[in-house]
Amino acid sequence: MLSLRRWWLKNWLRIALIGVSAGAVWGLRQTQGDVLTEMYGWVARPFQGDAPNQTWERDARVLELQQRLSELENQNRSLRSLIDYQSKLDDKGIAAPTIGRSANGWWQQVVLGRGSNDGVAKGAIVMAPGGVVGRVEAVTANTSRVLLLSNLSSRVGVTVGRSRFMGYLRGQNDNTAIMEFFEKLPDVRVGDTVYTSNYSQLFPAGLPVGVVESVDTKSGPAPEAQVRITAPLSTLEWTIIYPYTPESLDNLPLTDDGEPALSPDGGEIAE
Amino acid sequence: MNTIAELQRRWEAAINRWPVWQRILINAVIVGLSASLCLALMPLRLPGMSLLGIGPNWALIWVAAWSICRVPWLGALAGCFMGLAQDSLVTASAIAPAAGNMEEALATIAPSHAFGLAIAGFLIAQFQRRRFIEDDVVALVLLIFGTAILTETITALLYIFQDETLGSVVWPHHQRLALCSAILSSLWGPAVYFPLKIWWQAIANVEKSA
Repeated sequence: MLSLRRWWLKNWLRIALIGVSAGAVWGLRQTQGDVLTEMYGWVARPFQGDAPNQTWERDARVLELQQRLSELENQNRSLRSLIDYQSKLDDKGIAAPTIGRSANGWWQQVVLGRGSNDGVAKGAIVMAPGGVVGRVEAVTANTSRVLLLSNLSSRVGVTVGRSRFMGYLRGQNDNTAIMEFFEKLPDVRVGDTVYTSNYSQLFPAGLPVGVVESVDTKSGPAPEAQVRITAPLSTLEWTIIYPYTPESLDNLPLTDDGEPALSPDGGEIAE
Repeated sequence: MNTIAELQRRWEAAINRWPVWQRILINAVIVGLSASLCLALMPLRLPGMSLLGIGPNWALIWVAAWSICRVPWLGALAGCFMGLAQDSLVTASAIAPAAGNMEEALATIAPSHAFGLAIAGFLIAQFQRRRFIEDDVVALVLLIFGTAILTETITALLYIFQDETLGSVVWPHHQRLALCSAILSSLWGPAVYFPLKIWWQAIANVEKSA
């Protein structure tokens, strides 16, 4: 008993400090590291510049507009089959500078210098000259954390603009991603533009993502295409954040027999 | 040289005059602040401070600075806490169910950093107790280099363990990442270690004399 008491007198402080550290770490995890991100945003604030005006950005912007135009043409053609089509993105975006990158080498993530004080909310869509970049996953007062499309284990529903064949995009940790198709024989060619699909729950449909670079129809279990993401993910400087609340599957336009409407070409969606 | 020793003596004398609770409180604040600062530095990529878009692993540097003058289990504990805190900076992701039984998410897998950093902290403390290398800065640089490669390898294995189809992407990325992170972390290691070492040395001397 005495030795236990002596041990306790010698070590109670150490145990208390370990308890306090454990509590602090737990708090950090519960708040998704808000304190740290906010601290970082505060330190990085003096280094935020003004919106740049560079040629690559203009070129990428032109490319994005071309892609959007061809997507609009496609959408126009299929509007007859979509009765209550409406735009889901607000026109007003929030311009935000990139103030940091990922907190480790594995995650494709950026920290933006705008937060809930500027009207950014979790789930907002982040665009850059060239197309979609990612989605806001955590917000503090003055910063927001964005997971990029290129993230290693990401899966996002996408569609080929020309033929409307669907699949999902798997990130590869760099500027190219793999699109895996649902169908066995998809109609896809090099140069086709890839957009977010109607079935995406994280993104509104029809936002430009990238361009098909190569097609591999023989790969198993599903045909694949390599897609170059048009937005310059590795050199992001300014982005535009669009507030967006995802629709649940229940709100999709339904057909007569109560099933969600299929893709405009009528193709079944196989797994 | 004399002036430095003189400064150190005065500085320790000043700490010695503080009440014990004040010394412990200030030490705890310095530990907490330095660890948070290292975590907050993680998203930073300054030119000259990054290779191929990869920055130094500040969390590992802090764990190394802490472990090199402590017992192995304290090193492992600090690594575990630091890893869990680092997780909070990267693991927020929504997983949405979508059509065709497909799960849609920007991050379907999130391996914890706690394993890698805990092992790194344990190994660093263990190695340094044996005193293979006399000079502690050289030892620190070498140990950070080794453990940086080790922690990235553990993360890579955790990724593949959770989804073996990722192998073709993970290994090429791991090669680049492990090397860049090891070089940068070991070069920046002393920048974190020196100030902390001066402080902890003073505390240790005061405690020994008390």
